[in-house]
Parts: sequence; C-alpha cells; structure tokens
Amino acid sequence: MADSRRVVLTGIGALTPLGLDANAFWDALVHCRSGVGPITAFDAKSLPVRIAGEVHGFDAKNYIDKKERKSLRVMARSIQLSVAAAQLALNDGNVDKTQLDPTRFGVEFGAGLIASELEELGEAARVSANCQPGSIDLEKWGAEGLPNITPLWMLKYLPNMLACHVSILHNAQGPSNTITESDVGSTLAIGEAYRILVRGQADFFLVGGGESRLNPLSFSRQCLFQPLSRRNDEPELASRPFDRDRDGMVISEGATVLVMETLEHAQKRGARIYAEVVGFGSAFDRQRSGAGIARAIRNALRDAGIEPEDVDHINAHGLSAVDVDAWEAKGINEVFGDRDPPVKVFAAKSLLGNLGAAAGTTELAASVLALHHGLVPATKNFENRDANCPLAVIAGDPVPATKPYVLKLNFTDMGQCAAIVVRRWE
Amino acid sequence: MRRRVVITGMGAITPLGHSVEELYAAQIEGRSGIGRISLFNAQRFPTQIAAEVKNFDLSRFVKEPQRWVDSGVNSQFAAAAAKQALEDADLLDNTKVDRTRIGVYLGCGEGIQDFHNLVSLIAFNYDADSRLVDTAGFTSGALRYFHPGREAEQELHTSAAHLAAYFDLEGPNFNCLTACAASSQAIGEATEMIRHGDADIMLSGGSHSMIHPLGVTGFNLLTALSTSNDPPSKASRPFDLHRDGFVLGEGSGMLVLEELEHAKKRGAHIYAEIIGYGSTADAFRITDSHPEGRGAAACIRAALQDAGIQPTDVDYINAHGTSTQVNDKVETIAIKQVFGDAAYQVPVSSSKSMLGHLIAAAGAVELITCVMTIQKGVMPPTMNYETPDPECDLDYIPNAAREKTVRCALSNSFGFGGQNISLVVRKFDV
Amino acid sequence: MSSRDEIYSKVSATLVEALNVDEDEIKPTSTLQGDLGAESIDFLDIVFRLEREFGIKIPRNELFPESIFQGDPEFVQDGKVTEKGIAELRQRMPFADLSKFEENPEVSNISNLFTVEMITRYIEGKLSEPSKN
Repeated sequence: MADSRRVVLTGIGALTPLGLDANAFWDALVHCRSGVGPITAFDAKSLPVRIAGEVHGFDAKNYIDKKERKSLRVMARSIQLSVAAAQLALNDGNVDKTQLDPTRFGVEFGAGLIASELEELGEAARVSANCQPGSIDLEKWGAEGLPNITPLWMLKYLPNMLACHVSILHNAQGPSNTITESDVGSTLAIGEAYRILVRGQADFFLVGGGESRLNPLSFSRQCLFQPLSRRNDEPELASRPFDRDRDGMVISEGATVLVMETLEHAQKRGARIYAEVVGFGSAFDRQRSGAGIARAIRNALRDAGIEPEDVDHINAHGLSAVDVDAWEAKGINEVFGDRDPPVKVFAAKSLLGNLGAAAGTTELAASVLALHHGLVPATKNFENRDANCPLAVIAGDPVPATKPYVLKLNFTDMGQCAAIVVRRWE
Repeated sequence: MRRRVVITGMGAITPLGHSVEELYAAQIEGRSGIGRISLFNAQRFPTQIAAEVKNFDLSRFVKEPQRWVDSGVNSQFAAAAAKQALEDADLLDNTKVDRTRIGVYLGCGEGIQDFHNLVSLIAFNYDADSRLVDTAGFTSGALRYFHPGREAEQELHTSAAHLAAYFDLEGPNFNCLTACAASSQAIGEATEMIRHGDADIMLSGGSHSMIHPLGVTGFNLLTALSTSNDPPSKASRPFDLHRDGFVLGEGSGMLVLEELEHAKKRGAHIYAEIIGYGSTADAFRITDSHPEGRGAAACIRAALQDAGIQPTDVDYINAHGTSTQVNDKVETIAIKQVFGDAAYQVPVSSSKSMLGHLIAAAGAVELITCVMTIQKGVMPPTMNYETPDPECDLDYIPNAAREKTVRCALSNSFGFGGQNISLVVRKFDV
Repeated sequence: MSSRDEIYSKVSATLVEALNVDEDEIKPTSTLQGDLGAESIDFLDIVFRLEREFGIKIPRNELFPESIFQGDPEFVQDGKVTEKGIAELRQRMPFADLSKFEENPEVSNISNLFTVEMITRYIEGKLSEPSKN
C-alpha cells in the first residue's frame, strides 16, 4: 500500500523578479520579459556588478495577519519573502488551514547564508573599532559593543527560520527541514518532501526556497567568488544560458513555495491539481564531467519509471556561466544525446537570474505552469548556439508542451546535483 | 520488509579528544572539556568559557590538508571525523564498493565570518548621527579586505562537497541546517535514503563551531549561554536547579550508515542498528519550547513507533539536556508524557554537561555516545548535578558513570525554532 | 526630568514598536504576556528599546526577573509562592504592585505583574536615581 501514495502539486506562491504572484510570474515567462535590472536595493556603484533580479514592491505586512506582525522584526528579507510566498501558496491552493491535521503538515525549505544588516552592528562597531582596518578591540566589543546590538539579532539570520516561521504561522507540526545546499537547496527540499509524503510521515507539505542576497554584505561577497556577468549596461541581456556570448550569471532574489500533498489528501479536499511529482534523483559530480548530473537524471527517470523519450522538456539549471553551462550540457547529453528529435531545453534563469536557494522551487514552478497551460516558455537571450553546449534550447517564442513529463535539473558549483520529474495532471 | 540500516563506522573530533574512544572514555570519567575561551579575547564578554577542540591539526588526518586551507574549522573538523569514520568502515580508497552508491548527508554549520574586517568596515562607514552605513564605502572595502577563498568557504554546501570530492562519495549529497537538531536530522534522513534505496551507504553527521565573536555575541544577547565563568567545568549543569544556560562547544561527529545486507556481504563491522527516527516541529514560538513539550513528545513517540518498540524497551536516553532552564524542564515533561511511570526507571544523561553544546554537530556526537554505551555497557553521567530541581525529577545518572546492559538507546535533539529530532539505536543482533 | 505621563507615553510607544500592537490596545493595567502577547524574546527586545529610549542601563533580571525562584522550595511550594517568596519579590521588584498577586500567589501568575504601569514606575525610579557622572 505504501507505494500507492502519490504526490501532487496543488498550489504555487511565487515572489520573484517577475512579479508578486504566480500569475505575474507566468505572464512574464510567456512574454519573455526579463526580471533583471540595475540594483536599487543599495548603492552598488563601487561594485564591478551592478545588476540583479530584484523583487519590487514587496511589503511583508501585506501577507501576514496583524497579530503575527511582530515576528517581522526577527525576519531578514529572505525570511519575509519566504513567509509571504507560503501564504500565497496556501491562497493559490485554496487551502483551508482549519481542515488540515497539524501533525501531518510538514514544511521544508532550501535556504542559504543570511547576511546581517550592517546598521544593526553599527553602534557596536563604532565603539569597538581600532584605528587600523581589520582590527576590532574585542574587550570594547564585549563590554560596550554588545549592549548596543538588538538582543534578537541572531534570530533574524538563522537559515532554518524560513521553515520555522512558516511552521509557526500555519501550525505545521509535522517534519520540518532546511536544506542548505546552495543552488540545489530547494530542489533537494522538493525531493525530500516527496519521499516523506510517499513514505507516509505527512500528508501535506509546504516546500519552498527563499533567498535574498541583495544587500551590501552578501552581494559584495558574491562578487568575490561567483562567476557573475559584467553586462551592467544591458541588464536584460546579461543572463544568457547556453548562448555563445554568455559571460556569467546574474544574482536574483525571491521565494517560491509549493503546496505538495498526497493525491488522496488533495482529492478529499477537492483541490485543483497542477501536476504530479513522480521522480527524484540526486548525485555528486566529482569530476565536473557531467557524469554526476547524468546519474541524478537517470535516478530520477528510473524513480519515475519513464524513459528519456517521455520527457517533454528539460528545465535546466542554465546558470549562464561559461564553464558551468558546458558542464551541464555534457551531463544532459549523456542521457538524452541519442534522442531524435533532441529534447527541448528551457532555462528559466535567462528571465529570472539565479535565485540561489530559491532557484529549484521557482524554476520548477515555471515548468509546472507550462504543463498546466500546455505551453513552454522560451529561453531569453539565446541567440547564438555554443558548440560547447549542443542542446536544443527553446528560443524565440513559446512552444507547445506535447509530452506529459518534465525533468527539472539543478546543481551546485561544487557538483551536488538533483533532478525532479513531474507529470502533467490529467 | 524495509531495508535495515546499521552503523559501520564512526569518527569524532570533540573537546574531549580527537577520536571516538577518547570522547567516550572522557565522558565515562566525567571529565569536562570546558575551559576559558582561548580562540579570541572574550574577557569582557558576559560568557568567557567554552568547550574548545584543542591542538587540532588536520594534516594528521588527511594527506592533502591544503584543500581545506581556506575553510573554517567546521569543514576541517568534518574532514578529520569523516576520515576516521570511513577508515573505521574500511571505505577509504576501497574500490570494491560502488562509490556512486555512497552518499553524504551532513548537518554542518556555517563557516566563520571574517569578524575583524566585517566590523571594522562597518565602523569606518558608519554615521553615528543617522545610524546608517555608507554602502558604497562598505562594499568597496569589502572587495578589498575580504579574502575570496575564505568567503567562498563560508557557504553552507562546501563541507559536504569537500567530503564527497576528497573521499570519492558520488551518491546523493545533502546538508541540512536546523539549528541544534541538524546532525540528528541528517542522520535520520540519511537512514531514510538508505531504506528507500537512494544509496547503500551514507556518510552522515555534523560539524560546527560557533566559538567566535559573533557566535558568542548572538547567544549572549539572547541570554542563552551560561555566565557562570568560574570554574568553567561547573558551568554546564543540565537538570540541576541552578543551571543558567548552555556552554558552547565545537567539533564534529561522523557516522557511516550502511544497508544491512551490504554491510554483511562485505564483512563490515557492525556497531549498532538505527531503528527509529522521529521528526516534528513545535510550531509554537521562535525560542520558547511548547510548555507541555508538545513537539518533543510527539517526536519521541514518532521515533519509538518507527522503531516498532515500546517505551519500556528503551534502556538509556541521551538527552538534549542543554542546561537552560526551559529546555531541561520541557524535555523532562516530554519524556514523562511518552514514558509515563516508566520514565522514572529509564536513566537519562546529558553529554553536554561535559562537552558543551556542539550546536549543529551535537546530535551526531551524542548518537555516537549512545552507540558506545551499547558497545561498552557503561552509561555516561550528567555532571554537575548537585541540587535537584523539583521540576526535573528523573534519574539523570548524576555525577558518576553507571554500568548497565544497554540494548536500546534514544537520543534527543531539539533546536531553536521548534525543531525536534529523536533517533533510536539498538544493539545489532544477527 | 520627565513627568510620569511623558514616561508612560514613551513606554507605550516602545511597546507599540516591539509588540506591533495598536496604541489604543495599551492600558496602564495591560499585562505584557496576557494582554499584549509578549513571549520571552520580546522581554529582551523591550528592555533594549527602553534602554535606548530613555538612555538608561537596565541590568539583566532587574525589570523582568526571569524564573525568579528557579523552583527553590524556600520560595515556592506546590506551585504557590511562599511568604518568603513574596517578601523576595517585594524586595526585587519594589516597582511592582503585588496586592492582587498576593490574593492568589500561583507561580504562573507572576507574569501578570509585568504591566505597562509597572514598567512606567520602574523607569520613573531609574530616572530619578542620582546621575553617576
């Protein structure tokens, strides 16, 4: 009987550079509107990269009941976006919380490092700085600095607080986990929640990812070690996965939360079903050769019980970094290379930029909506094929979705790979 | 029947020594790993004590320590403990085992921020009147003073990736960070991955250090840490009436989890079997536990149910036992809720009375302690238990280790935000 | 020196900020936990905000002594605060109104002592202390 538990997606809450809900998100995707622009969140003039995908017009107060609003004080932007996206997902899924069994309600998020807001440490820094850079008087910091920092400082920045606030706000007493695995975090979260639902430890899940690196500390750190596009004068053209002229990725912020539940639970409450989650696989690509990517894909296809021929399109990681895209193409082609006609590839980051820990849930939402609407969006900025990325990238206009399955792929710069298979609901 | 999961290797780098044997022996002797903080000048902090890992040298464990040259100690401790665990399980350079079927699931904490550069950059760009930081000034300074490699290594996926790359573990790769429950949760979910068939072997555990200025600052501000600085060895006193907070520790615990038939086929030494895993959320408040221990009790129950055992089958509980007022009281309530009258018969102890609190790594090190207790038949004590608290009235194995045949042990881990994890391990019977 | 009314309105404003309540929800007799929904981290936050607002230092455990008795049998018996315990409370919290509490001295009722009025009286006392400079 255990194997008969099926898992479906019934709600999407998306706060992304493409808009403040799933409708705006879809509208921008099919009309190929980029969410990348000049940074407005802070003064980025001293940085080599001054473009990003920002969520504009977001005010967390609009998403949280008044009696819960005091919690906003202990939520960094990554957390606020996540909590709001969770509310949107519940709305979209038409979920009546009073009908849920709290002990069967789980929460799982992908999350990243959350940077301190600089001002919160300002007074403490001022009273304990020595005259030379890079040197703080720790005795002053301990004695005079500490009393100048808000006592709740640390709570605002703990990565597990995305999931914890969501569980508190919605009385979700089932399993709660936070996967902190960079760009593959929320993809792994989907996979793990899927396993938990199938094995019967919960019936209903909010699965999300949320991350904002649009602050001076996170963004300058990213500039130091990430392969970022420098196309500052043409922000909308900067993210160009698999295109010959790509020069790096674009950092974006946002949060997307999905409602995942067992089929039985969804049917009992009469939910509208977007798609079914049918496969998950993960692996490590030790040599950055594509072998690990291919293994994650094969594991997910096997888990779903399908062949490469059954896949309508691949929703690629498509980072837009020079070597990473070539690496991905190798992995995809190791599994799909013999397919004729070749499998279509969509790279959502061409429109969204890289949402980091939120990339997995956000990008999967694009393909879930694609299956739902029967239309796959085009990859923006794919103009010239790169010989190192021999893939059938969807470019120009959206194309019809003709087959029932989508494969979602994500991986990290160090080789952690995950793949999810979802099936059109009919 | 579901696939069974056994433990075939263990490794530990802790304030009580650089091996599993030392960790366990020190606890049985009741030795404290807590002392005055030496890693930075904490003399004017409310808390000046911690349990530090002493004399750690990564080159004694791995041939290429330079891989971790930019890493924080979290990744370095993880590498050393992982090496021990894999060697113990005969999985180092073992090409007879399919490396694509070995995964990694860690509950590792973050790397350590560049405190001095970060704070001085804030100070130099801070305007006291407006209380604002000039971000253009800050970011240009950040580019100049932050070290790119060390900044990259702070990211939360790096520890797990290094282990997979260095030790050739090409299966699934996860890291979770659920505060103080992280490594227990990692072990629980890794167990589930093996049960499901996603892997045959998982390297699982955790590693963390928050003994740095911002770590101590954060916990001090929340008044979560003990400020009983003198003598340090007396500060961590779980379940004692005069407990006043936890003591930070650091280190790593790693376990090799393996599917039973796989382990048998290759003749691996089996330490114990993981038979139960429970995972719940309080869904109550950010730092307050639910007063009736709702989430914790449900979690212990779930673990026992998963294990298919009754409360009376549990011979020993390694408590979360942080030495904070609230945790120890609520954990006691939760145990009583699940165990009923039997709660008074089952010995409970807290390793944190000696080790301090290893945060994300705590659960793994404490599970290792449970496994050693099963192996050796001696339960570690709760040290510094001097004045009974009427609200904490269980048998906490006060101040001296105790012999007992332990077949089945329960390990609890609870974290900020209401994260609860329980694991059950049992002596392996063929 | 501020008048009592001034102090009260500043305290109210601080609570509005910290607890995200409306000004008209706050009355002198409002209890922080019961009426205004404060949890333990809020007490830390309120102390921090009061220190900034009034430029004073509030030592830990002075305004909101947490777990005052830690289950000490001298002060607490069968869930009730003893005579000795009440004397201890009076000494530690001279700014609190214990009259109502004495009628039903359950330990769990201690949190009812933490009212807006109590904070106001405490601050008033603090501000009237001779300056250390």
